[in-house]
Amino acid sequence: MRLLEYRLDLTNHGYTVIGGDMHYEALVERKCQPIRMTNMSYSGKPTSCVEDLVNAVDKDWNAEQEETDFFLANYADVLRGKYPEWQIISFHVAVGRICLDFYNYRTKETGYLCLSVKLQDRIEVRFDVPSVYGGSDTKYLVSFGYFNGGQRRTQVIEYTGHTRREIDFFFKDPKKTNPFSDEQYVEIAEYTNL
Amino acid sequence: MAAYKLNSASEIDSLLKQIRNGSPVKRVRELVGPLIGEGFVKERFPNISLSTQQYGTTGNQYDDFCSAYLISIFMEFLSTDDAEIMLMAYGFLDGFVEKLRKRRKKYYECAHSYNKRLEKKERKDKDNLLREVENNIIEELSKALIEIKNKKEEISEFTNKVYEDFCNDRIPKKLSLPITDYLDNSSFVKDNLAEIDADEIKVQHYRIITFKVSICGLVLHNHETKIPIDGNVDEEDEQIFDISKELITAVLASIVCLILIILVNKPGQDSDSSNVLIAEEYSMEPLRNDTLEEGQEKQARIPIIAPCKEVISQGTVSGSVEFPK
Repeated sequence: MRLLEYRLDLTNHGYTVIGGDMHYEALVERKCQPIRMTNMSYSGKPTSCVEDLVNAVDKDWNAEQEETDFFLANYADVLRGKYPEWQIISFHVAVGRICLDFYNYRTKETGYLCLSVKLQDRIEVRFDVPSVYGGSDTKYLVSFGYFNGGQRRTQVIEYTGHTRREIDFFFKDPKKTNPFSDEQYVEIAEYTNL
Repeated sequence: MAAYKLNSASEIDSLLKQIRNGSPVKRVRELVGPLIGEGFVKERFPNISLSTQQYGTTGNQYDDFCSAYLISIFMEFLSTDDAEIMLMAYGFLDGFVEKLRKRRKKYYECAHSYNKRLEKKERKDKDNLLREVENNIIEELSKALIEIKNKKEEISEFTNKVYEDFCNDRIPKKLSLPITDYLDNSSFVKDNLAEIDADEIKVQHYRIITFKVSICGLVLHNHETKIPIDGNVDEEDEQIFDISKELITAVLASIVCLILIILVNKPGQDSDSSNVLIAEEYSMEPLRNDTLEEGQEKQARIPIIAPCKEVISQGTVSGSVEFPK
């Protein structure tokens, strides 16, 4: 097992996973494969309850938007799986935040929402992403919240082939903590069975 | 690099999104080439081949044309609000030189109060919000483009018009916010007018002009009062109908001249009469066949319909009046 540790500055969207071989700016939703999301634990205890995820949604839209946007009006039921035509096609991780891109393969509508660490103590979500070139799914374990000793942390663990990559997210300037605009970096510990 | 023939709206949709990502100016020819056709390129840009990616001296001119073509597509086939968003996304807005993510945030701050696509939309992630809006516009635009591409006469006419405008430097490389300033002085103005809501077109305002006859001739007083039919003047209306004093002066001067011509050409009129026939041949209903005695004042309410440019030029007041720039 080889361990390699390094640090990377994030630019633009930073860390994004897409269910297809394309850039997020050139995303053609219908060509994406659906990503499966599973709630693994809540506050450090194993759970499969989706309500924790519903409660973690940062409702950053207003009531007027809900009147005209089906997705925003029904996001909770979309997360609960009541509308299977709405699928996750992409997710994006920043410090304290997971943003999910949804696509309705019937109506061709899109929607997005973010899970915020501020709304939950700790959440651990697993994503199973179909391989673009065939083969087994890639697994991503995304966790954020307060870990041991009250330390706040956002981490992604990637499982791919013979490699496990642990990626921790940080703001460059602790005083600038807007996940959508302030600069961030990641520290990576890569375990590879050569 | 993939060669696009653009036979469907989904292909155009996909290509437009790819071009948006990165440096649009370098890749816009991938969209424009198939739209304008190889024959046009060979004729106008003989040193360019659509099958190879040449970026030489002539290539720069061709790339400039392609950028102008894309700008024209936005202006021609989209509403003003949508066009502005697309110009921002593809880097054709003056002062928006940052990367796309920052351009979107900056544009949102500038335009969310007036752009109908953004009004009442509040999300923390402005980048994602704008991308979603852009994608919706791209989808609609792609459908419109494939339709016009399949109508050879229309696409040919549009292409020739863009080429002519391009050769005469009528298409700016970048537009400033708000782009309505450009529309007011461009050949796209009629299309723009056509997009204005019917309700907005119907809004009528009256400008009150007071006429007074004096011993030495006709003296005109302009009170410059604008009264909408419904009696309410809001900020938007005031902006729309803010016609400059130069225009009013021009209008009044025209009226004076025409009235004088009428007076001179009235042989049957009693020259001793103190009554003066005013504006007989004009559409100013309150003054039609009306007379003024010496020292008397009359008010004319001249209807002004937004946007003023078209209506005034159609002769509600005078055909000789030029709209101020």
